[in-house]
Amino acid sequence: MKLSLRINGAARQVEVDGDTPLLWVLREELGLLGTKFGCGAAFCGACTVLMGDVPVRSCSLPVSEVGDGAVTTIEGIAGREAMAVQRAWIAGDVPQCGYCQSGQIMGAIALLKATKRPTDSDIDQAMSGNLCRCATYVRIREAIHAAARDLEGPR
Amino acid sequence: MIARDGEITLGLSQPEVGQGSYTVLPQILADELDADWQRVKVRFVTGRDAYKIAFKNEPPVQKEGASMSTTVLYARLRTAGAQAREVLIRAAADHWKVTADQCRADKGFVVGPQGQRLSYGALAAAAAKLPLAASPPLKQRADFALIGKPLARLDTVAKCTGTAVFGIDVVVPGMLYGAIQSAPSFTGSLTAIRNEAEILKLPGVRAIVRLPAVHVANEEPGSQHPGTAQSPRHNAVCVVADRFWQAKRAAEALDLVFDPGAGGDLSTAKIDGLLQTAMMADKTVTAVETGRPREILQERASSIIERRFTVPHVTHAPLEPVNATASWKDGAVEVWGPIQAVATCQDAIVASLGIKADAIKLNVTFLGGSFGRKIVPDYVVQAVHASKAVGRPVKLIRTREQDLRHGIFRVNAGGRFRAVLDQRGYPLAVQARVVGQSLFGATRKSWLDQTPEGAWDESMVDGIYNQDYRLPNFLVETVDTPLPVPVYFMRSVGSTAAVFFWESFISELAHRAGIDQYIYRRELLADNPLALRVLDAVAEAAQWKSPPTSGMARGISYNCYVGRGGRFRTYVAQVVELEPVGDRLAVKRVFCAVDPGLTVNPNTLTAQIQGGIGFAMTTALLSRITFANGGAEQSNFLDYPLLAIDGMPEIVPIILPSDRPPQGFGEVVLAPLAPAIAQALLLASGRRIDSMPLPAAAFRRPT
Amino acid sequence: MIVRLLMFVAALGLVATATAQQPDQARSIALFREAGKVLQSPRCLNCHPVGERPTQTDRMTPHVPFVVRGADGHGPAGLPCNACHHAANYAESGVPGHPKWHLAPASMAWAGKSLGEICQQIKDPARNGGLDMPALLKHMAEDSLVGWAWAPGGKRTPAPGTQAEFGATMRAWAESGAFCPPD
Repeated sequence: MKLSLRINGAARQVEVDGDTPLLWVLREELGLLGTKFGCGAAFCGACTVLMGDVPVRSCSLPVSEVGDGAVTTIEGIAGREAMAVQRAWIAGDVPQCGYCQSGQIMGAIALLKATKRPTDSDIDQAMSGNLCRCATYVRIREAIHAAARDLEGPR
Repeated sequence: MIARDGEITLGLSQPEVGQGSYTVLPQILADELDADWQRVKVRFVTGRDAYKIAFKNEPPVQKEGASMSTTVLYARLRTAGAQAREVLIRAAADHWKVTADQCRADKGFVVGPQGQRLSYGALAAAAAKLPLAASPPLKQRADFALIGKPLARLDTVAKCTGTAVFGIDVVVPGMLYGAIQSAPSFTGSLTAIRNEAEILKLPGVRAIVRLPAVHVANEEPGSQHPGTAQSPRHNAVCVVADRFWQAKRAAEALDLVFDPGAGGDLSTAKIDGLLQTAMMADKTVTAVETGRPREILQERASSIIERRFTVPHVTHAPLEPVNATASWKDGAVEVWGPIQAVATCQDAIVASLGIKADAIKLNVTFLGGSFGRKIVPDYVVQAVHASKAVGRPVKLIRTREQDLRHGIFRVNAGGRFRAVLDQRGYPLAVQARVVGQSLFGATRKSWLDQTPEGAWDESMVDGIYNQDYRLPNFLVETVDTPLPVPVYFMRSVGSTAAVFFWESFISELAHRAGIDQYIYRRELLADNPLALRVLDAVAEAAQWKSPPTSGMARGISYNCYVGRGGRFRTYVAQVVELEPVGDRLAVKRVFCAVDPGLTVNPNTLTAQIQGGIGFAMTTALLSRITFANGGAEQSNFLDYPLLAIDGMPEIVPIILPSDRPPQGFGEVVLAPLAPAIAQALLLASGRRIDSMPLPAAAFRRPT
Repeated sequence: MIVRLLMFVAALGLVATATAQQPDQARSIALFREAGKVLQSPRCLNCHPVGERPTQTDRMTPHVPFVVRGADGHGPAGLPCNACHHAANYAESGVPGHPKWHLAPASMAWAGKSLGEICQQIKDPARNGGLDMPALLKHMAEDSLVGWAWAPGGKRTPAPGTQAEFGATMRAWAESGAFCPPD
């Protein structure tokens, strides 16, 4: 089917089977390779993108259900929370292998949009769906706190 | 390579699997080179002799594993950096018509006697014509500009912007995608595809390719893996399609018939039965025997303390599923992918495709985790077969299910430990027996240690046969229980099982003797100053001598990780703290003291401590592969869960300074974790834990 | 307080009506036990967990990822249920879906409880989301998220019978006096 999607602020036309997971449309039709395939079943969060402010697992969303939802991938992140998270991730040297980090960053942006100053418990609850086999969790937690402080700081 | 504009590109022979080689190895070379770190770029390279390293008694090849990169390459990289610096200085001296010793290097420039400056970029062409000094003078430690500094990783920005290219991200013009279905049993062979014509009609499908079974990691002749034990067979089918999702859907719709083969009856019950039998076997292979352990244990049979343990098979489960892109053309092939050992990969393609090594070009990408998995090139060889069959480039991606269930595993193990104590409560005689599937037996027979009784596999008893405690009468034995499970090295190799057994047994002895766990270990390490130093450091940081706070459970452990072939010794001690959470105890904080030799980069080393303990948490608490009908039962993170952030403890790293050169580090912090947790539960509740993953019931709060 | 009092009166009224229709305690309890086969199926218990975390699959293993109920049953801030669960079951990923996908509140926790305890909970408007008996019966018989239990997709075993049969059983139970099993 022919679909018009709103990806990273632009209208993108694709012609695919409507049952195709959004993940593979992003990667193979639109060349947005920053969103990763990890498990295909919404267990690991590597494929997380934002739909509006919701950190959607793109492996588990048929492209036909996207409709006019505004999809943001790691390549298109923008706005205060996103920039604060990305800065904190880089300053904190969070990644090891790096494969899960696009999804981690998307999850952290969604968390900070929902909760301005998350506690450790808030972080545990929101981020437990983003697995990291290198277990960079110590630095992920620090980076989220740092980004929250950054957002609260003088503007 | 030094460009005219002064940008320096370093070829990196070691894969970046997350451990930080991409930063740390260039950091070593750039320091001796006196390069401007801001102008250093890195790219992955393959093919030259200078990239080759050896772990044990084998010819050197290009690979990463066994935590060897920094250890083995440290001196080589420094020499290369110093050689380059020296010719750049000579080139500048020639230009200024002065002597070389009147010039010095300074961050990408050579500075002359009058303060005149020439950039490395301007000097590179002239310097390249000069002969290299065989052994140029190296810097003193005090002169290091980069080594020892917590430099930021060079790959961080790419990994935080989604631009780092992993294997799965490779794009080759005209490429198709492949997805596979594999034989349910490890020894299975394909006998029929019942619906080939229907599958070929599905949208986007181009071809169905029967894939020959691939030898696991190019094991040596006579090793026990089914790949070599059986005549050639097909054990998987690849569907090639225009898009991955089309290929995956079609592959899942395949109606395949397999003969389960000789190992079709493999099950967890059968494997556990073999372990139990081996633990009590009369016939073993003696690995170590000092003093009179057998006699003393026999004489004092009534006072023997005995414990038995088991650990299951587990698997690497890197977050990037295995994948590779291959382009076959006119009998030659180019490959792009997440490859941890290029030499092994090349050998496997040669063996399976029958082409010459020089017809293969390998391109290494970032690896989305490996932990040893991506040394085994089965998925690369499958991609090459698929590309050869369709005559176009093919990117073959394993789904998580195909990656995990039909993957590569770490061996299981069982342990039976017996001891008698002296009057003070310290070990008089100890018998340590480890049984299970032998990794070396299955993959590398030439690495086995031969004795008149048979061969033993040091990886089964890593941290036991070479343990540090003072034991006057000591016997170490092994029993191999061969299995048709495809196994290979996994981060920390045998030490996670062996040190769990060994430290848990030491905990038992100290507990029986009524002596504090730290004091007991301290006494047994009294002759070993480096061991004592990490043990004391961790005890001090964790305030071991003060009683734990109310409700807290604590455990302490020690291990010296000895590199393969004795190449390095990294000392590690840990204290874990468990705190009540509801009606359970949870691991909340881990103190980890290490003596890693010279720390090249405290930033990446700290990351290895943090992440290594997190990795060990998964193994200690969650990981278990079970088997039925000849294959593994787990298939995704639902039944093979990984630690999430909510289970991650606070980590307190204690990195000790050292005059020794850099020692291996990527695997060393894993093994001591599980026994420290088990000891904490023993002290808090009296519960004895005899298996991994540590049973959930053991974490119930004592009442 | 007033609201709660009114509900209490309403509940009494219902029981009184039922009593008038010749209550049959044994039959009523038997009917509830029949309905309990649905209520205690994994399809219902997985999302009526005791504690903060749902379970999943027929074996009721802990939900992966380790999500929690959150303030309104739709997951915690930053990881709502609809990050993964969309409008319909999705065979490709195996993730079940429904437009209203969410967890039951803690007051409706059924997992691990006896059928008698579940029954008392279901009848109690203070714990059942403020439903009187007619509303409760309507919810059981007609709510489409409840109805998902009979069309769960994938390899999940559906709840026994049909939603219509379940609704009829619940109605008969109410009409026979809405007695609860003692255990």
